[in-house]
Amino acid sequence: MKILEVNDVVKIFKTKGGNVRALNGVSLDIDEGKTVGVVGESGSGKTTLGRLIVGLINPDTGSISFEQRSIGSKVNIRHPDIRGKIQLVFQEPSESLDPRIKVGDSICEPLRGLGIEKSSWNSKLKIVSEKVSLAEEQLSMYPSQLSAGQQQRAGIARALITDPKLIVLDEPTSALDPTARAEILSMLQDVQKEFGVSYIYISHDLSTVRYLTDETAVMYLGEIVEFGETSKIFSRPSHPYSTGLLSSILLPDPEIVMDESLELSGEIPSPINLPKGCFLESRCPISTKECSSHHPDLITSDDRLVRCFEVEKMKDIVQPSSKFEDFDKSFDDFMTKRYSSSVQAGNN
Amino acid sequence: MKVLYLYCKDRPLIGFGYFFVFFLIFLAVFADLIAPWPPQTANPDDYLQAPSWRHLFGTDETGMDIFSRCIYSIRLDLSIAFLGTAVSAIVGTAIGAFVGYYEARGRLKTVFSSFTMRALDVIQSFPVFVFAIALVAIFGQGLYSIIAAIAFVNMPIYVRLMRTQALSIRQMRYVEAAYLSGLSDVSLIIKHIVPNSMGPILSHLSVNVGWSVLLAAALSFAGAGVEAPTPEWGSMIAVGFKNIVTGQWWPSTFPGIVLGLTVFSFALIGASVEVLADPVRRRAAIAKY
Amino acid sequence: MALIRYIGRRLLFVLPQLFGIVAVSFFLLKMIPGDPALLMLGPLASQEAINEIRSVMGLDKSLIEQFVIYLERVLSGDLGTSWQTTKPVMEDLLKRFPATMELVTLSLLFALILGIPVGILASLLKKSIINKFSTYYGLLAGSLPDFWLGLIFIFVFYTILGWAAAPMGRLDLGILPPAVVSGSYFIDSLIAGDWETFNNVVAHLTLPVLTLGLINAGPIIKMTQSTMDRLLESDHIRYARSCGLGEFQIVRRAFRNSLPSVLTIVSVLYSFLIGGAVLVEIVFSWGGAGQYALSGVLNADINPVMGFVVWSAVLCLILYLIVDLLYFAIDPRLRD
Repeated sequence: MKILEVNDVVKIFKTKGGNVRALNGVSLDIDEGKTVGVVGESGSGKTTLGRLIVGLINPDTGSISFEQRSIGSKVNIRHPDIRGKIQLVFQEPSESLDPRIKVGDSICEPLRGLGIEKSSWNSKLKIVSEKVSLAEEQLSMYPSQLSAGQQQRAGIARALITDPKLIVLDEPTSALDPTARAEILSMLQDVQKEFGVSYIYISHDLSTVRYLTDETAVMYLGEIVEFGETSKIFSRPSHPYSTGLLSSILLPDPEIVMDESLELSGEIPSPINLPKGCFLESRCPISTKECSSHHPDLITSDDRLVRCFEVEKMKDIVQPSSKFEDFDKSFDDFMTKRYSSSVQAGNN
Repeated sequence: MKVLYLYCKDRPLIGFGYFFVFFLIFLAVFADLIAPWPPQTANPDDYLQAPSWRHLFGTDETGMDIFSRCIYSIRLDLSIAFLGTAVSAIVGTAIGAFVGYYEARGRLKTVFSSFTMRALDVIQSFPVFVFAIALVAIFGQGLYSIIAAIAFVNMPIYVRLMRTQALSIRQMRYVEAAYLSGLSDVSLIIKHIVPNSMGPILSHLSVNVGWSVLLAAALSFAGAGVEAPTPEWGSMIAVGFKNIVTGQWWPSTFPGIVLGLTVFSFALIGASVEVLADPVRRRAAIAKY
Repeated sequence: MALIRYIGRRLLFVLPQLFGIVAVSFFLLKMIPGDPALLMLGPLASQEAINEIRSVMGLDKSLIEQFVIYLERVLSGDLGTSWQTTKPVMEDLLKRFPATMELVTLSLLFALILGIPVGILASLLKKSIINKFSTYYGLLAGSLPDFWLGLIFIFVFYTILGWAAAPMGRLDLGILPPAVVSGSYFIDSLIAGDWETFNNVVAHLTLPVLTLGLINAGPIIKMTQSTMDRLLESDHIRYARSCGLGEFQIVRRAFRNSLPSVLTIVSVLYSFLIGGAVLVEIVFSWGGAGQYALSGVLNADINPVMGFVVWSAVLCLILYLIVDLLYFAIDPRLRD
């Protein structure tokens, strides 16, 4: 069942320099209990999309519906009917908790808005803090006394305490060191298994996207350029931009290299002054005349959606590769080891 | 407390500031025990006596003891200054928080914000002192008018300080999280914005108390504040004004020195609060310990 | 061309502000308890005069209509009559504002002459006494009541030493003021070439200028020092230094760049002093505009107060306009 449908949203920010076209018609669906990854460079609009979904900003046109119910400027996320069902976890753990309020109180803050009896707050707090492995004494500390990883756990606990149906994770691990990152990701997986919550995972860290998500949307300059099952996109990207992005991952094995003929070059066009044709045309190694005069639509190609005129050509160039599978395996191993060792450490 | 001690150890003048303010408060509380003469009783036999052991600071033209009057003035001047500053800080902070939080957020809220800021511009383009006197004239001469006038002319600073703070704090992720959890604007401002913006306000408070003492004294000197024979530094200086040309310097000089030292002490404290409220500068200031 | 557009944009902001000032002063006037007609005419007014002013001011009409009447009167330069001097307020103020402006301008010039070198030296000589001195001078100068300092100066320099002129106005009683050109005796006596008068004017100016100048030098020293500190640490000065530029050249450059902030603080002090010099005016019986307004407040003579408020607000706005033009001259970034 679809839990969230984003339908052709457009968002333009008015600035002194001109109108910044942050989102240019983005559509996205999420099934219950699934995880969708949103990847792209900074400036691709992925964070704007996340903030739009939770209702921190309103779309200019287009619609968003949550559980078949349209949300937006009138009925936004703060509306009593929806409140607490969509949650957000922020990129900056140090900024996401009020420095003058104890961690436990910050975690419980969303309960106030739900009108839940104060007497039951403690039991709820206990459940979520156990889930994110925060010790009881840490709940009565101030955020500055916690590490970045612990702060992020508290941020996740605050999101979980309202039993949300959907959590938007806006680069939740980018500010963390690798160990803390691995722990948080494993924890997110466990939580999903147990509560059946859906995630939108926004990140530029492709290796974690590969690990955590079921489907991936690749964004470029406020548009989705490729959308499909994560494993399929990673084994054989069909859009030149996806290919370029994937080639930028640091793989553990130096033997594994991307095809150099598909490297992107040049500058990203300004979002204030977007080109008429394909936004990638100036950087694309396989662009044609058509690319500079017409803007491609998102079309179905086999098992996915791609926004490119040269899909067929791409199929020839990019062969299905298993190079990520080796990588996946080593990454999985790393995660399991790290997490189980940290859990043991926690239990001792 | 320990930090404060370490900080003052190298800066005796700042230490003096703290000492003097506590000393003043002590004098004000125990004025009845310390002052050797009643503050408001004229004594025609002893008029315009030069400073002596009998009258430490001398007497004024009606024979009132200036030392005793200086001590009793502390009560009035500090109360006026504390109350005036407190009112302006509370009201100004509240307005500033809303102005900052509402700026560029929806049409009506933005109108509220920009209207308030323009109104401040207008108020601040009035000459401060004459404006204060005019306010006293409008409210009618009296203690509450003086306090209200002081509060009113000081308020714009707090509004501006708080607005700047609120503009940056509202961007913080925890404020967004609180917003998403359905907190109303008012409780969000009270719970998150105001407590996290207090730094610059606190360091301004102390300086502001000093200014308020100065303003209260100036109002009285001009004849729009406390009136003689109520003991008040500004009005005492005004009373001694005509004696100074004929050579009796003490009725004006002593109240002026006490007034100056008081304002100076609050300024010193303010300067130290500015450093101590900033964790980085605090650490640098006491680094060698 | 850019300059004209710049001024135009500034005026666009100034006009609503002027309107706001007139509006606020009008509603302040309305808030004063008691019969405004009586307040304007004074306690000795006859019933006919009161009735007349009522109909002139439209006191029987609505508040908005009254405001429009008031606005028209102010715009035509009619600020009412003072019952104390029995003259139109406009006339009184035209006579008194030059006295205030003369005092304030000379005091600030003195403060600048004192403050800028001290500020620069304090910034250059970090370990010196002058640095310590300037740090606390600002705090101390801001703490001293100017009216009290004026009294002390009178006592020391007039009563004891007899060096200064009597603190009784701008001229000795026997000396006639110079022919009015600017209204400032200092300038007018120079224009007339009357050295006897000029000397007497300077003698009377010395103590009040000293009082206000010493006190207002504090913020100027502080501002000069802190901007110089910042600039001497800046990359372009470091670069100049590494290129082997002489110390004098470097200081000159840094100072040039610190001018805008010094200008800012001077404009703030100036606008403050237009009303804030009133107590020093009283101490020296200066007969300036502030003193006139104050006696208006204290004697329930309301027209002079309102006239003064409107005038000084307008002067402040003109001042800020001039300051903006000076920024424009100093700061090349504003020119495009």
